[in-house]
Amino acid sequence: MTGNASCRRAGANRKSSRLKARQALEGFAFVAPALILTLVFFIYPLINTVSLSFHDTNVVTGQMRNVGLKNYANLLRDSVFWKAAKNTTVYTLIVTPLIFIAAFILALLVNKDRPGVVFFRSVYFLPVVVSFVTASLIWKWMYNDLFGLINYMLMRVGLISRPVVWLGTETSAMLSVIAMVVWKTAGYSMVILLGGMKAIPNSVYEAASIDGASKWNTFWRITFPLLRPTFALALVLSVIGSFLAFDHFYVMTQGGPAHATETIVMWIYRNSFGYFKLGYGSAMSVVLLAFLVLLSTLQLKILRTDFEY
Amino acid sequence: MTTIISSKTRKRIGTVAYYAVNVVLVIAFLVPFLWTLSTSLKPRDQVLTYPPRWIPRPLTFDNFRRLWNIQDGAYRRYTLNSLVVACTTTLLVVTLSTMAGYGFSRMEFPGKAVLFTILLSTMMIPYQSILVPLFVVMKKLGLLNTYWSMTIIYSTFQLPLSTFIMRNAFDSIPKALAEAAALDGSSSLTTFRKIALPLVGPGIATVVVLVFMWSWNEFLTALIFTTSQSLRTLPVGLSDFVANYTIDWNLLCAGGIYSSLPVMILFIFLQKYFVEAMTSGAVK
Repeated sequence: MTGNASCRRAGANRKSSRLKARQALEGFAFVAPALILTLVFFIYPLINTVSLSFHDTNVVTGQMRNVGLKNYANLLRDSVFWKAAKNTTVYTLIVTPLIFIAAFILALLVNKDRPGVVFFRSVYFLPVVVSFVTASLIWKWMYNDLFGLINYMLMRVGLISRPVVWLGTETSAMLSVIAMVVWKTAGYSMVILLGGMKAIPNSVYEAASIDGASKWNTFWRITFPLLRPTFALALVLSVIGSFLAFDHFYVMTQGGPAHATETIVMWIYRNSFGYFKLGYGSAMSVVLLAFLVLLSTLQLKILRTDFEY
Repeated sequence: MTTIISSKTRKRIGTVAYYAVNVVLVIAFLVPFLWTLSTSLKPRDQVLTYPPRWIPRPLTFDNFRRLWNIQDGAYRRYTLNSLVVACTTTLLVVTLSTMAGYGFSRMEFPGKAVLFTILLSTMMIPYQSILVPLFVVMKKLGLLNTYWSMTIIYSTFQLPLSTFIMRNAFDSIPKALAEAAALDGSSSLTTFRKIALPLVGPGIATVVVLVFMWSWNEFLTALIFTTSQSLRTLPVGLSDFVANYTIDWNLLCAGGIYSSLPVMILFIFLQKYFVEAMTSGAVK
């Protein structure tokens, strides 16, 4: 009797383990294509970036030569790299708070359901969906010194008396690109902030109004602190995006004048694909990557102050 | 009584101020687009006029015609390239991310959690930092200057987030539904196709919008991997035009309007999914 039962159980076990193996195989089959692509075209190149950074490549023969830390030593002496690093940092430090403030104001304006709010929201988001190349072209035309709209309007209201060559001098070129980027990306941060605002449950506000809190107090003591994780997220996304800036500088200023708007990614691009210094380009990529991973880790740390409602 | 009236008036003033601010901002956000549109529809001699004129008179599509025919139809070629790359990438990513999303959501296999974490963690790494070795890989595979290199690279970059979106979509389907199907003896492939797939339409729409928009607009990778002119995509072609036709602003503006048209039209009809697509990466 007992023998019969255990025998049956063993059979069931064998059957279920075979079923499990089949299920596992099917599971693998479902996820394998995505994983293989990621492995071959992302993780392998990622590892290769590091090994390539210790090599020199010959453009003609395509041969690689191990040069140890030479690329990294060159990087320390490369004045354009440091200028690009400085430019990118300055750009990030200016553009991030501007995007953030613009996005926050926009989010507050379109947070409540009122007639027309959907339209306002779409208009503020519209620049996000066009490419950076198109946005740069549009603004290059706006900034045109002789026939551009910006000079015309500023002269019309008397803010400037002569046309300004916006993209021609070191300071104004950087600021001009920054103004374009705020227009282009504020809508993106806006929807992230809106997501955070919508996540605050109404009961919190109801409780505050029962307690007799004023609108002003509700905003500063409830909305603002509860949005902290969303703020952190929007800020860090914008910081990382800014450190990778390329398209708009490439189209609007080509890095000029005199490398004043050269960014890190642009300098990596020029060295790797203009001068075909693949090893050197990789070394710079590794440094940029390490720096950004550090930033992302910081992001996770800030975001860990998560709480439940 | 007086307080009621004053609070009413205050409310009205608030409403007026609210709409005034929004209208000013809407105009400020739209002016660059409208100005570009206006320039693209003007006759050539009216671009360089001062003061600038907003409404083109006469209105002409001449610039778009010139764009269409310039350099023996280079722009037609770029359009074809952009369409091929964006469509094949979207198709591939939708297929693979739906499969992987289903696998990670609904199937059991050893190492599932680890593999999912590995896939997602690549989102932390900016693709800009692996382009140099990727170039070497593509060269070794002989895929430089082919549609394949673009489709493969774009798909790889978009897969992690898309898989994440699709896994969440499958997660939200009631488990009982799939279990019932399994009890009825349907295979996992049938359950996937007949039961689960029809229920994740919004997830798929989000992935389509995300991937299409991204591949249509992407610039840096396209610039690197399409060294031959016949394979350039619209953003690369456009940037080239900006450098070469510096004073022909009619043509450039026509190019800008023309190459953003597909995403703009998509945006008008699928706004919800655009916002979904852009924010899904933010709520990791």
